Amino acid sequence: MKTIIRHSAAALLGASLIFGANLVGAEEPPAEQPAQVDLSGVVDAGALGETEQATDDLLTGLKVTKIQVTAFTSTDEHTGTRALFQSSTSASFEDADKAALLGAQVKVTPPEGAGEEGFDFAGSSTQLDTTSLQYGFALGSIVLILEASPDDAKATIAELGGFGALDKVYDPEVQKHLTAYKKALAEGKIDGDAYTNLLQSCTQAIGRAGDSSGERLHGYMLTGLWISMAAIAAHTNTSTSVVADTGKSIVMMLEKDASYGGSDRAIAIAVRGIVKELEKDKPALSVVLEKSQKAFAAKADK
Amino acid sequence: MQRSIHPSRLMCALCAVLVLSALGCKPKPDETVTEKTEATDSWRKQSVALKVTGFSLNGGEVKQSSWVGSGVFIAPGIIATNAHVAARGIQIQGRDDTNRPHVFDKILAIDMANDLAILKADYVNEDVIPATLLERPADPKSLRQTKILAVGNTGGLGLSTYSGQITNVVEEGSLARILHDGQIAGGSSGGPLFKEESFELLGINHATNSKLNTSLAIPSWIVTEWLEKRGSAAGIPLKSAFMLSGETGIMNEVKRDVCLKPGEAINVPVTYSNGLDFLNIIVPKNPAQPVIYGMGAQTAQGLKYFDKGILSKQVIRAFTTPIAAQYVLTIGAPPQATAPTCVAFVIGQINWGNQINNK
Repeated sequence: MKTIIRHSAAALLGASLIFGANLVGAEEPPAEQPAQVDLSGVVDAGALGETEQATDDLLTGLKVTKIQVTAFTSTDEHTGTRALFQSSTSASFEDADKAALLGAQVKVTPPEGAGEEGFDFAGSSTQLDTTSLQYGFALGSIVLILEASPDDAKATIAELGGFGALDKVYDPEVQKHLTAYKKALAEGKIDGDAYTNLLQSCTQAIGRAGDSSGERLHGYMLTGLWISMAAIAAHTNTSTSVVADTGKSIVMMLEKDASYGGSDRAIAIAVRGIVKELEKDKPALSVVLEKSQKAFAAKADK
Repeated sequence: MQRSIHPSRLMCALCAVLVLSALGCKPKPDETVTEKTEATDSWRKQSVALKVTGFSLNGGEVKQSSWVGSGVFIAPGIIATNAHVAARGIQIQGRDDTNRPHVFDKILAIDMANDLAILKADYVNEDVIPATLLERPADPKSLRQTKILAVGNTGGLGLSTYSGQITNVVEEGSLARILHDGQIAGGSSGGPLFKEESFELLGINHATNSKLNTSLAIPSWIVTEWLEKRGSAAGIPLKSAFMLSGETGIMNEVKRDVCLKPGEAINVPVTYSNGLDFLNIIVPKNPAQPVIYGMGAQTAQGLKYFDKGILSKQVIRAFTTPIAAQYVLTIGAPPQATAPTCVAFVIGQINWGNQINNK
C-alpha cells in the first residue's frame, strides 16, 4: 500500500521542524502473502451511496466559477501551523530583515462606515476588502514584530485593539477568534490556537457567506493572514511546503472564483510570487515582504 | 545489546559463590549488573514487530491491504503503537524479539493528533514485564543528551535497534514530541524509544524529518495519559472499530452550501499526505435536480478524476490517499439544468477516535 508515508505537515511540533516529515511505519511487508481477512460488514454499506455514471467530459466541461479554499485539511497541517506560529517566538533578526519587516508594515485604516454597505458587489472589491487584506497581515505579522521591535509591536497592538467596529463586519465565528487573538496580544501573549482558529474560521466563513461580498471579505482577510504566515515560514524556514500549498489554493480562488474581480489579479500575482519563494530550499523573508507590498498596493475596484 | 554468558563461565561463577558461602562469606550481589541484565533482556519481550492486515477506503468500496509497524507493551496485554499503524487494521499480529507470537484483536484508544493507538492482546502473557513509562520531567528539555535505544521493525524484517541521543523536546499545548538522532527507518512506526541506561520507555517513535535529519517520538507521558484513561476499557474488536457509520468523526473539515447555475462548478482543492483517510458528504438539495460530482488528483497531466457520478441523493464517499498530492473535489450543475442547482457538501479527514475512544 505504501512504502514510507510522507506526512505533509507535522505531527511534529515545535519551533524548527514541522513539515516534510516521513512517518516511519506502515511499510509494505516483504514478499509474503497477506492473510485473508473477512471484510464483510467492515463498511456499513448504507453509508456509502451509489452514484450514477458521469464521464470525464461532463466534469471537465463544467465552468469552475467557485473555489472553496481550505486552511488546514489534516490534523498535521493544523498542528504544524500552530507550531509554525509558535516558532516565531524564537526568531532572531539580522538588521536587514528587521528593516524589511518594519518597512513592510501597512497602515490599516478602516473605511468610513465599515460594514454598512450590505450589498453584493459580485466580482468587485471594495475598500473594506483591501483593508481586510492589510488587517489580516497586520494581525499575523505582529508576532514577528514582537521579536524584531517590541516597541513598534506594542504600538501596533494598541492600534489593532481599537478596531472593534471593523471586527463587527466579519462572520461571528471570525469575530470570536479575532477577539481571543487580540486579547492575548494585549496581554503580551501569542495565542497560536486563536490564530489557527481565526484562519480556519475565515475559510469556513467563505463557505457560509451566501453572497459574493461576504466571500470576498473573508477571502481577503484569509489572504492577509496567509501572507503573514508565509513571512513567518520564510523567516524560520519552517512549514514552508504546507504554507505554499495553501497559497496555491488562494491563487486559484483569486483567479477562478467569480466572486473575485479586478484587484484580485494583482493580489494573485503577488501570492504566486510568494509561493514560488517558499518553494525554495532557503526562502528569503525580504523577498516575501517585497511581493507582499504588491498585494497591498492593489486598489479596490469600487 | 544482548548479553551472552558462556556455560563454563557460569559454572565458575557458581563455584565461586559456593566456595564463598562455605566460608560464611556472602558475596554482595552486583545489583547494577543484575538490574541491567534484566532490563537488557526485557526490551526483547516488550518490543513487538507488527504485521497488519486491513483495508484501504476506495470511494464506495474497500480494498484489502497489508502493512508493517512496531509496538511496545505498556501494561499487561496492552501495547502502544502509532495511529497510522493501527488505523483500518483488522488483524494485527506481533512477534517479539524472542520470536514469541502475539495477537492484538481489540483497540482501546486512538489519538489522531498525537498519532497514537493503544491495542489489547487476545491474552495476557505473564512472562512479559511491560515497559516502565518515564514520568514527565518538570522540565522536559532536561532530557536533552539522554542516550537512547530505538527499536523498530525496519522493512518488516524483525526488530532492529538504533542508538543515539535526545536532541530536543518540544511541547505545544497538549501535543509534544521528542526529537532524537537515532536513525529509525520504515517499519519503525510505533516502536519504543528507550532510555539506554535504564530501559525506561521515553516514547513511541512516530516520524522522521529528512530535511532536519531528525527522528520524532511521542513522549511517554502522553502514552501514560491515554493508558490511565483507557487502559481498563473493554476495547472494541478491530473488525468493527473502523466501520464507517453515522458515528464516524470528521475533522479539519470544510462545509459549504452553494447554488450553481447550469454548467457551472465549484472546486475544493485539498492537500493530503498519503495514507490519510478522508470523506466527502454530498447532499443535493432537490432530488429532481441532480448534481455532478468528481473527486480527482492533480497530476503532471492535469486534474484526473478517479471517482465521479451524478447524484440525486446524499452520498458519502471515503478514501485512503494512495499518494501525497493535491486532491480536488468538484461539484457541478448539469449544463441542461433549467434552474440553479443547490447542494451542500462537506470534505474532511476521518477521525476514528470518535467511534473508539468512548467505548
